[in-house]
Amino acid sequence: MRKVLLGHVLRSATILGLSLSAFFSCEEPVDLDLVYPKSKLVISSSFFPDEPVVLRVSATRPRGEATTTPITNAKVTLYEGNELAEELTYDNSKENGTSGAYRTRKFVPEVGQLYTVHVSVPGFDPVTAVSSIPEPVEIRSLEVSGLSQVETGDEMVYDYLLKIDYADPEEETNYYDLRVSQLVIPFTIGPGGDTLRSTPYLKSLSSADSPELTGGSVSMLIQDKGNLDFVEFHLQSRLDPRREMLGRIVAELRTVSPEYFFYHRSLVQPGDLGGPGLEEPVIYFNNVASGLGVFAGYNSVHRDVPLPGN
Amino acid sequence: MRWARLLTALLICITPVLGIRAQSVTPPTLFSLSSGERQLEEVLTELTTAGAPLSYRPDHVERLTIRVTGGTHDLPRWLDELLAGTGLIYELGSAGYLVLPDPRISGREFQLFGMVSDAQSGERLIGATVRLLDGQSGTYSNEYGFYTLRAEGGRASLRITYVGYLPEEIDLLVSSDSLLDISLRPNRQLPQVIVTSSASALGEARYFETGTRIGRMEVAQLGGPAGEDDPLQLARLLPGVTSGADGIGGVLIRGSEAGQNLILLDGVPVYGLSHAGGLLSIFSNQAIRRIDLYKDALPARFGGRIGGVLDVHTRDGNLYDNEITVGSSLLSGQLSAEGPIKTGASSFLISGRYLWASSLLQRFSEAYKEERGRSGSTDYDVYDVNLKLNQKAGERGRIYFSLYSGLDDYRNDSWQSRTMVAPSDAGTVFVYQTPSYRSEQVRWGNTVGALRYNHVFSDRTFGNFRLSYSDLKTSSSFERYDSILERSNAIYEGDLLSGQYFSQIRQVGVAFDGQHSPAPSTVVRFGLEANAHRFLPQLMTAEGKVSEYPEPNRDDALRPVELTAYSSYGSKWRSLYYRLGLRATLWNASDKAYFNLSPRILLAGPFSPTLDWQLSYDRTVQSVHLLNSFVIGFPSDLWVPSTNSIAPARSSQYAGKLSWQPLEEWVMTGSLYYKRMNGLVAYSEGRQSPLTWIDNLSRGTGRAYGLELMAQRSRGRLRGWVNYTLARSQRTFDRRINQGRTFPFRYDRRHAFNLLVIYQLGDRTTLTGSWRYETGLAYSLSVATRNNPAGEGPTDVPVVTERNGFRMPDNHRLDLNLHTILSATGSRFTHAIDLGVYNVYNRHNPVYYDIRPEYTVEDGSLVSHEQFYRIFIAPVLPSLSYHLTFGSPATPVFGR
Repeated sequence: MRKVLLGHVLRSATILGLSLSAFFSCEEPVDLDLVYPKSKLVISSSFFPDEPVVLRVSATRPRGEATTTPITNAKVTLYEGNELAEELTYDNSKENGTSGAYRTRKFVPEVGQLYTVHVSVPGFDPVTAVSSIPEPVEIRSLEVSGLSQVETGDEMVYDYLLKIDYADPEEETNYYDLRVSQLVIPFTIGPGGDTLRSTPYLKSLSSADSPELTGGSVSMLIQDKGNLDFVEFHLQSRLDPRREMLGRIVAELRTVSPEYFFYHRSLVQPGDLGGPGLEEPVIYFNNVASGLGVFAGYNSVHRDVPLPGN
Repeated sequence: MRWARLLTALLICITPVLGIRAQSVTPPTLFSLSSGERQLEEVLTELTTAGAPLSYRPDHVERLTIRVTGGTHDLPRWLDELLAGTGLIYELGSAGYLVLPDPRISGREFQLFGMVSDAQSGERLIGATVRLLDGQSGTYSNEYGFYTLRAEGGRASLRITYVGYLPEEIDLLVSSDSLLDISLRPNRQLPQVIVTSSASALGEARYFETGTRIGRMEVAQLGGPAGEDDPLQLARLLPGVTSGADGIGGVLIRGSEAGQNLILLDGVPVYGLSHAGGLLSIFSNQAIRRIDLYKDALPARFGGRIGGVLDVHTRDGNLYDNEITVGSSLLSGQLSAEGPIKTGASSFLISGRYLWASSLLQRFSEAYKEERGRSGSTDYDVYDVNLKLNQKAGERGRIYFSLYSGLDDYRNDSWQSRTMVAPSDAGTVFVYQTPSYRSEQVRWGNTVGALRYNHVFSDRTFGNFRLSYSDLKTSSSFERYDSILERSNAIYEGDLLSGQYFSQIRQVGVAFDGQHSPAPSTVVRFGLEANAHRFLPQLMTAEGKVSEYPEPNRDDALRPVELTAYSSYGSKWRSLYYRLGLRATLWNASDKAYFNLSPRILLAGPFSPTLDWQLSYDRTVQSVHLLNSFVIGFPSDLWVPSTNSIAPARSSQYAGKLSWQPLEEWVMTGSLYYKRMNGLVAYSEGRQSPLTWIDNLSRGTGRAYGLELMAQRSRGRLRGWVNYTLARSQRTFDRRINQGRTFPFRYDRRHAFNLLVIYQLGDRTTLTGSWRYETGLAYSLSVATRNNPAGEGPTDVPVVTERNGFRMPDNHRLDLNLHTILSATGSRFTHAIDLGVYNVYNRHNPVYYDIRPEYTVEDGSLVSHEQFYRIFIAPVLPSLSYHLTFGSPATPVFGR
């Protein structure tokens, strides 16, 4: 009798203990009794001097619902100061890469002007947003140092430091988006042994301290110049030496509006640390009154440099 | 009455003289007394009745007990014997012999000092009250058991009290500065439960005892999950103390982060507090003597954190008898052994805990996952070990060595794939698979060691020297992917995401703590400390496998040094008790040095005999920062030091308290506090770049304020407390968190209500019930989606417009525990049994919500939707534990 009782207790104890030990294993599907907020308009536009203003319009929707389609019946108006600049029209053509967006036909923005966009759609609260285009800032120098190359398997890895100096005006606060990319020249060997070069293209860069970075370029958002004389990237270019040759390193210095800066700084992928429920989600910057999204201007200059010996 | 006795004595003195004159008879020169223990007053009366020419003041001799050898002697010989050690002398005058106080000690002040310890085990008792019965002056033993007390020369009565021990009264003659070591006997009858300062328990020492005491006896009575006693379970029932659901997330005090609490294990800072993410603390009740929890009015000797203080003292080990305890709960097995190395001079204590359930967890978890259509398993190993040695070093010194080491090793893999067939209208059949994979590995371990030497330098001065070592290593990684595979055309879509954290913080230090009592009711505490740190935080995330990550670069270690000096002066002016403290800290990182001063002020006193008030101001500085990455406080948290780019965090707290003791056993307290925090550091939102995460930390401020009310009954068959907290805690960071807007702290519990009831069913049996209710966590939950503004990734992303803008359901739980101790009279075996129910009404308090994609076939197409899952700790569970102690026979007072 004692043995039976003891055995029963131990079995029960084991099960109970284990169920507690597996402390993240207790789970159950739930329907949260949530009050879904009214859908809001979401707009997105980054505009550049002397280029048409392009703006996309969509809306939020309760979680779990199907992906929304772009809103095509919006009335989008752009103001320069207090003057109406142009009403944007919906572009459904596939010629200029702005399909599914609203764009100006004639009007192009300029540096230093204040622009206001107003979007209204039946069934939604109308939204407005304001931004401008800052002055460009010159890249003073672009320098590659510490180049080394290692062959790993089928890849040739070029490891180097890229120093960039730019003429940041000290008397004012400026925001930058500094982007670095790698041009690669594809080639083939002809039947006669000639090297036939094709059109260069941009290839992903990676950092020596990270297995992989997303995107085709390395981007860094900088406020002023910090305390540094120059900005330095530690980069790696990975090429297939049988098909690719190193081209030039291209640096693009975007002088951006605060809206652009803070929006892009918040523009990182949510839900990528530990999975849903555990990570702190990104609260996207928002300069759209009564809605969500961004309307932001920026300027840009480019400069490139070859890798030493290439 | 006093006058009547005086008159009688005078008559007795005068009568022989009158008789001499009247009868002119030669007075006797020899006097006979019987032997035995007798009252001095009675013996002197007998002598005068027998004709001895003797006079004295009765109030000088009352209540004095002496031992009489018996026989026949002349009067001087008797007086020599009778007055020895009483502080009285005699003089021969014209009217005969006069007994009077010794002028060499009367009117002078002397110092009593020594150690207070447990009479059975020799353990030093912390916070024992030592009071002079004739006056109001008193003191309490410090964290090493040392006390020092000023007393007037002459006879004195001392009363020594300590929670859970029989009060001791000592009559003594104070004739010089004296070392007086005091031993108290445990009283297991109706042990007093916690532990806020009260007049009856502490006397005037209560004005300086600003901590809340958590003893192992109360912890044992409360029980814990699966029968696992945990001191922090009790701490979380105090007002102003909270955690995540069911303890997950550690201990949070008055709106501070878990990493902002100073946790000291025998004086050494501990950086990792939890096993199992906070479900259990690292403090085994077998090894812990007591914990003092401070929320405000911090003594100046505490510093380095801006939250509360948990000062944990381990047991020393029995100096007189060997004891072995074996036991088990539903979670772990425990073994502890203690005893003298040299009786009365040195002892040892070793205790260990192993999560035996972990060895079976793998099989259980496989079955659990299989039931839910997944494969994979969970492995989890936990152990901790405590070792303590102590050795008497001369008459006034003692050496202690303590060591703690613990490890958690957790691994969880889960793989699931569903196959769905979706025929199209044209009859084409598409076969989809939705493989989903989760893998987490977490390993963390603490090692804490201290070598201490206590020395009583003089009757007023005590010192403690300490060498310390503290180390926390954590490494964790995860991989997860959710994908969809259309098998017919081999179309694959999926995202593999991974991250790896590695953190090491090591601290090696040397310190001196001193105490000096220059005047009555005055204590000066002072100390110096130097600590060398080594930090190695590493964080990597990528869209690739963890196995492809590079090894952590050991050359990136940061090695700051911290120098600290502190002093405090506690004294009394009329009815105002005050303690003024100052702590100076120099934090020297390689690229930057920070110097900070932290003043502390405590003012307290009585409004009336039953009503006390207290005001305090505490400024604190924290040079090490804990970065929490997960809601659950998983030890993927990284500790980073203050550097050129990260300044130390600072906090100022203003607090006030009223304590009312309407009846002997009841204490009611009401507290208000306001705390401001600056220099807080947190991860910026979003993915952390391996290159720049430490440079992109967000800085911010916080504030917390609240009201705490508590009623406590500390004696009687029904004991416990009820408390209510109304609080708010907010944070404001730069624009990289919540776009710079103020948001509620995750553990911002607006309302909290705790009830603890301990009912004494019998001499050895208690039934304990605890109920806790708290406002739900503030949580960043998305209820809407929008198109993904990023150029890559999923089409839609969750919309969260306000950090911690969603409130989880309220958190509440009822636990019951029956605790009994069985032991036959004279037996060397003691059985402690706990039987209880955890989460009695099966409340599923969410730790967090997981949102998972789920796929169904609708109208011939594969449709995905998101399903919320509530993750919670445990349903209703019985709890059971048993401990068998083999040692010295139970004490006579046991169970009475």
